[in-house]
Amino acid sequence: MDPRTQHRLIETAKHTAMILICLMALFPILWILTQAFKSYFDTIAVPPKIFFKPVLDNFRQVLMKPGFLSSLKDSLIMALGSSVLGLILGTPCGYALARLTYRGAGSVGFFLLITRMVSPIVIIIPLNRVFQIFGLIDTHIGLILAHTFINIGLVVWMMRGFFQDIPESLEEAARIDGCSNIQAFYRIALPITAPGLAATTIFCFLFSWNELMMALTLSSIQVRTSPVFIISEFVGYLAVEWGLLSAAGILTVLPMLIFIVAIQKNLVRGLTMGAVK
Amino acid sequence: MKINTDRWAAFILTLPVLLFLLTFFVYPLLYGLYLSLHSSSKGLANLQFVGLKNYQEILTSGLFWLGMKNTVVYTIGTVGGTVGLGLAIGLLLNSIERGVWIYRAILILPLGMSAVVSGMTWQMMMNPLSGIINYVLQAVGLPTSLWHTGITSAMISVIIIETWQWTPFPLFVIYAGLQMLPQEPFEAAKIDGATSWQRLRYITLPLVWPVIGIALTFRLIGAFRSFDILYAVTKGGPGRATDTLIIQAYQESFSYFRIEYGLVVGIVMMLVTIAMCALLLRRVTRKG
Repeated sequence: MDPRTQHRLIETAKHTAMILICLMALFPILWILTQAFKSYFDTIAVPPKIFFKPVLDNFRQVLMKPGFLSSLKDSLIMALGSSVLGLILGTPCGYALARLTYRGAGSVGFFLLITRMVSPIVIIIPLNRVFQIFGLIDTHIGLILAHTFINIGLVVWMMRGFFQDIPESLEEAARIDGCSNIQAFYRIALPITAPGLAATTIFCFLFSWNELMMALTLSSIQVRTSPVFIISEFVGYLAVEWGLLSAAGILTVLPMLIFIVAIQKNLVRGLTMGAVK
Repeated sequence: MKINTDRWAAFILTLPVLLFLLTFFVYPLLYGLYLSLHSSSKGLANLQFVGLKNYQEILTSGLFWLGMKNTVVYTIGTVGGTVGLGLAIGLLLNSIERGVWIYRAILILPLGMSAVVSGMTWQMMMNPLSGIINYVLQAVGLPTSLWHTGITSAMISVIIIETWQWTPFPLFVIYAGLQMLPQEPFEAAKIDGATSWQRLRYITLPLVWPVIGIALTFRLIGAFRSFDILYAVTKGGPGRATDTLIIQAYQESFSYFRIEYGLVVGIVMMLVTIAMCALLLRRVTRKG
């Protein structure tokens, strides 16, 4: 076989394998997407229907279902609130770790890594009690604070990486002109890392939006985020309401799927807290 | 780089994070430690100091070790599955020149799914009676399974779901590592007549190993504490077939109000996590 034909054959095999892998990655997402557009009898049909008449009933019913829209609203408040608070608290520390040499910097970094890695179960039980005492249980503010805890280590480590990426000469020039380190941080470095801030915000938003354990234990009646709503509303009679469940699921994950594709350039950095760029 | 040791600035910039973590991490943690040394059988208002009795009782109980066994099986299964598949797909993707962007955009999607929704979706697909998976298996003449509803098949089912959700993570980490590799050693090896297997075995894998190590470590820690999929799909069942430590800690504390169990297990898990971070991640995060 001449080398060109052989090369073409190998390329075709590679793309075929890749397409099969992509289908496996995509299949469950396509599956709830189609289930969401099926009529009640089509969702439970045996054999499962690949071709069917699409209907919008499930979406109509889910949107009218008490609590669904307010769960999306609660998720939005949580995700926005905890992202913003996490960035406000964490970005300065990320800058300090990137630019300043001080005793204990390594320990601060490691401590922040631990807060990110350890399961929140270890603080949820005591936090539940503390929140009850301070009236924070089942409130927006309480859950925003809890989700900020989940994201703060990520913010510091990610922003540290973004600050290290920018050349130090600008800040040095500013310091020669009489800027303090803190002024150099918010006047010079912060505006330059705007894309990094945006990527970090999206990550925080995503993690908060999808978070289950804290949302389940520190709220769930007055404040009910979307994962909690789905798990408590559909789990009992799952076998009957597949169409509704799918519609609710799709509406919940669609914005996140768009987000994750939008941040793919910074995906690796965000998921490894800056360990791999 | 000029060394900048402005202690005052460092203090001001670090303070907000430290104050926040003191209030919402260290303080609850110490309070949790305090509670774990007490018996709350007469309510939280009437705590009785019992020393290490809770630890002794729980850490010697069959329930705890069953949870430990399940956690180890789940962790090894999902870490092996995600990192193994991630490495294989990463190598394949790295060898392709055209159309990479579209493959990347598709392969990334499972990571954006909330684990609750992916758990629910797989539950529908794995339904033993009307799910698509059993239907396809039957159609091609393979045996069907009870999947997450069967005692023996539940563990493998949740491992499959977690592997589906998390394979993109090691995949993209390893792919990023592969993209950063220098070209020279490969060209030199080609000239020397190395086969593609030899190049993979003696050049690619050793060079990309640090990145695989990072993916492995993050996945190890992530799988060890994984809660959402298990909670959404099996809640530890059927029976205790998928009852991992974290599911136990949650169920015992919040369903049966045995908060000592959750506290002790939570603290033990935290110590294991800190040890893993100190052993495996400290060097990684320090450099740079």
